[in-house]
Amino acid sequence: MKLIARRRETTANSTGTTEGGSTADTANDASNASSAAATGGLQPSRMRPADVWPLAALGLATRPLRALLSAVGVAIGIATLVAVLGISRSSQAQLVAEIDTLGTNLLTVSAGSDFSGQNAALPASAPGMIARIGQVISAAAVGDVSAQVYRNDRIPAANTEAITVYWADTDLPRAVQAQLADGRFLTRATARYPALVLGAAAATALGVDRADGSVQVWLGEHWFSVVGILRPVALAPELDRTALIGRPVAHLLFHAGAAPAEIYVRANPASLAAVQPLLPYAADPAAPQDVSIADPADALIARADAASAFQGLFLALGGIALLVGGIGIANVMVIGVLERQPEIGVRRALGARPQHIAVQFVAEAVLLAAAGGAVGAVAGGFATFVYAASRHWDAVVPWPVLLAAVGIAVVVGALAGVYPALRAAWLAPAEALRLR
Amino acid sequence: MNVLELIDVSKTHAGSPRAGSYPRASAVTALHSVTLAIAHGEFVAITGPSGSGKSTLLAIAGTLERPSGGTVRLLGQPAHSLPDRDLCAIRAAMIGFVFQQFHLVPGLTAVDNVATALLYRGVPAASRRRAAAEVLADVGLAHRAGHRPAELSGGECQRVAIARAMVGQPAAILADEPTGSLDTAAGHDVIALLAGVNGRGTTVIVVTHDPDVAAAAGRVIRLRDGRIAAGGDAT
Repeated sequence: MKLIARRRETTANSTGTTEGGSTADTANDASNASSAAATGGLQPSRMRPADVWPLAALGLATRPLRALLSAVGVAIGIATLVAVLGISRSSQAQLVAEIDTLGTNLLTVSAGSDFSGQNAALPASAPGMIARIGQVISAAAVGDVSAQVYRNDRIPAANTEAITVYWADTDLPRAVQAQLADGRFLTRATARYPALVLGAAAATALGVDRADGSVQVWLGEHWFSVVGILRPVALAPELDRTALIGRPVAHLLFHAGAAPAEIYVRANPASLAAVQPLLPYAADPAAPQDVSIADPADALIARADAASAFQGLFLALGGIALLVGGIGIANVMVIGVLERQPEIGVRRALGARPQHIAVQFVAEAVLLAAAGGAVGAVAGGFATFVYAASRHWDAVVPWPVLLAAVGIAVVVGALAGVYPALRAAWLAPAEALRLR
Repeated sequence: MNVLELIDVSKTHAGSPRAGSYPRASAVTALHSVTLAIAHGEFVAITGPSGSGKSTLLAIAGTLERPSGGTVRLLGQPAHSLPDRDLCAIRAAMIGFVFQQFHLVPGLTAVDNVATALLYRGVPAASRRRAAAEVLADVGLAHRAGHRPAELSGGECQRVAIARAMVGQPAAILADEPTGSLDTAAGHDVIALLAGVNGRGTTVIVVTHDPDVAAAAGRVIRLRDGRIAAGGDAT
């Protein structure tokens, strides 16, 4: 009995030294008051929250290579998620910045379908009518020409290189903000003669690299001199694969009609919303319902969003990598529990309750996954920077994504740790210590 | 007052349900109505041939295992009927264990291994280590405090394990073949250490094959086929 008395003193002392400890301990003590009475004032065994993480780190540090390898799966998964989100964010940011510099005040007017489903045509007067709207800065049309363009007269007729021939108004570059890579655009003078301007892709397809007038191409049974080559047009990419000739020469040589296929309208940015509903009535007062209006900036952003449908696929792949990583951690933890049975038995013999053992193993799994997640987040961020730099973009890695990535890793680790931890906790102490 | 009383204790291990054991092992009775009492301050050796139930007896005495039948009173507590939570509390506060294979945690230094005994009593880390260093000095290993188990000899490991059992100032130390993995000289050190602990008032119960341990003990309980053959009554 003297020993027990001494034991109580020691317990009292140790309680004294833990004064100011966590409130969780205090709550634990209170809930155990009844059983403490039953065991003659025994302190129920308890572990300080501050001891959990050092204990978990110890378990990992004992087998560093295994810890490293099992964290790799989670790191890869998290790196994929961060990189996919970072790169797509960066590319969208880049696109929005590009569109902003080009201006979002371009609208395109084209013929839609009429009531019977036939393709409608815009009246020849449409460009002039639109240009008369007060807030329209410029309006330029292109129209169909029934001719094909070839590098020379020896090319088989079928090899059209998918280049469309249009007639174009001379102020088209101003409306679509097109820039010339070489030469100059059609002028009132050259529009009357067999001269043409090639879109960027069309020039490449035909193998034309200079526009000083010395190169001629075979267009609809006539030789045309190349007087200009456009740079790629961001807001009107359909112009990249066209050959543009003057309206007068198109009419003269190919009897092209004056009806425009497409009208590019540059409006005052502040009045864009007001201008847009007026355009159908200006273009075709007789059948405004057959006119279709598009905003290329919107279309580009929509296309970028569509491209991010692929992002979903990559995110799914990252999620699968994360899942496999979690299973890997669970697997390694189960093996660890089998190997560490004596340690588990000793801890039980030293007074650890099953939940102390469970907490230790879950904490190990969480620590492992969190470390993998942190490394993966850094790697994914780095991949985003490298990719963005290679494309001369500004890299965008949103902080919430990094934090969420590590949070997801922690959740994966906790889930992966549950089963091994329960196995460890349920292990019978005598069996763990081979006392049977 | 007795530290330990077993009244009519029996233990039957269920047949192993594990895959791969065919034919399935049938139930094994390890202890048949064992009755014994161990008083405060005794040094008791439990001996007997392999399979006589020594280890099972130790596991039941140390609350690591519940008996299939009978009464176990440990320090006045009805250990056979207490919930697991209270058994953990009893182990944490009142019993120290020593094992044949030492069972030290490989990644921890000697002093941290000893300190682990106070981990589940909510003692802060600094106090744990201070107490552990003192006890480690008591067992003559102050100079090895910073070494890991792999860097220690078998005898040193077992002294660390005894220090771990002592640091919580338990009422009883239970040892399972503590000299079983040691050479004679190291074994004598361990016996002397246990005798010293016993001399300071702690009850020591040792399961052993070693005649030297039995000779050092104040009483020898002999088990045969799960029954007490001799020494069951307190002297």
